[in-house]
Amino acid sequence: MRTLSIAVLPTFVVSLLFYVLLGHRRDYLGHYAAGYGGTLSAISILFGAIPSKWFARIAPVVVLPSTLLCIAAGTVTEATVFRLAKFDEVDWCNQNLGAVLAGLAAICLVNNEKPSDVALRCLIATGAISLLVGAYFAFT
Amino acid sequence: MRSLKSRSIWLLVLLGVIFGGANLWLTASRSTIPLGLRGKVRQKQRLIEKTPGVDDVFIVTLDSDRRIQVDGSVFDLLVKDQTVIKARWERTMTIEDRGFPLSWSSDFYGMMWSMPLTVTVITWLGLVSLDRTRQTSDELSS
Repeated sequence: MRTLSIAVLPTFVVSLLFYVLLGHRRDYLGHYAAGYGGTLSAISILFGAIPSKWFARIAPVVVLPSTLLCIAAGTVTEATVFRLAKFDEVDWCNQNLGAVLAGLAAICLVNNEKPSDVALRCLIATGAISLLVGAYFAFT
Repeated sequence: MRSLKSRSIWLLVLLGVIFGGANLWLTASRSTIPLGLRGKVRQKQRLIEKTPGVDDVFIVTLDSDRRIQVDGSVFDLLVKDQTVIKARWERTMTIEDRGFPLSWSSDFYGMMWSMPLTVTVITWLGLVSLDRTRQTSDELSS
């Protein structure tokens, strides 16, 4: 429950800010949510692959590089497949804000013990849902 | 390990501040209010994005080859081959000796409130992470 609240509450607040204060640009919320979801899912999958006995040692080391890698991957997709008119710097900043918040949520969850399989599946699902919400708001 | 984790947290918070600040600057600069401009409008381009009419991209190229993205309201003011003069942070744009008032866009007003609050949430999560790191470290050492 604590795991889910750390993964969901902060991003819910930020999504609400985007929705209320930048409601005329739904694509901004879309990019933010997609950046958050993609990064959270990727880091959670990586956490799942780390053996329990090494988790406390390895997990804190992988969060920052994984977040930066997700930012790089987002940069490439924004510059290629999602480049419709031009590379939009505001879209890019919004998806990076999502990635940063996901990285912080993940690092907050890094403890002495590896999260349970159920908790990790919940995190992956939360990320996937956020990614889908992002796609919906970005393209509608 | 604790130090590495703390550094990662601070770096992520710093990135959040940078991206939030960049959002503010980018939306502000599209009003052209913070920019200094001088030259003849060589080309105007309206590019269609995902949702036509909502997220269209307006590009103006001056004769100095300077290419800027502007708000739709600024784009409508500018006419090809006319001379535009504007000092930094001035809220009037002079086009062919006629002054036109400039205003911030709804994008900028939205960012002006949402970005500081987003950065606050990011900083808060960073502080919670640091606190948990300290607790975990204390548990290990005791």
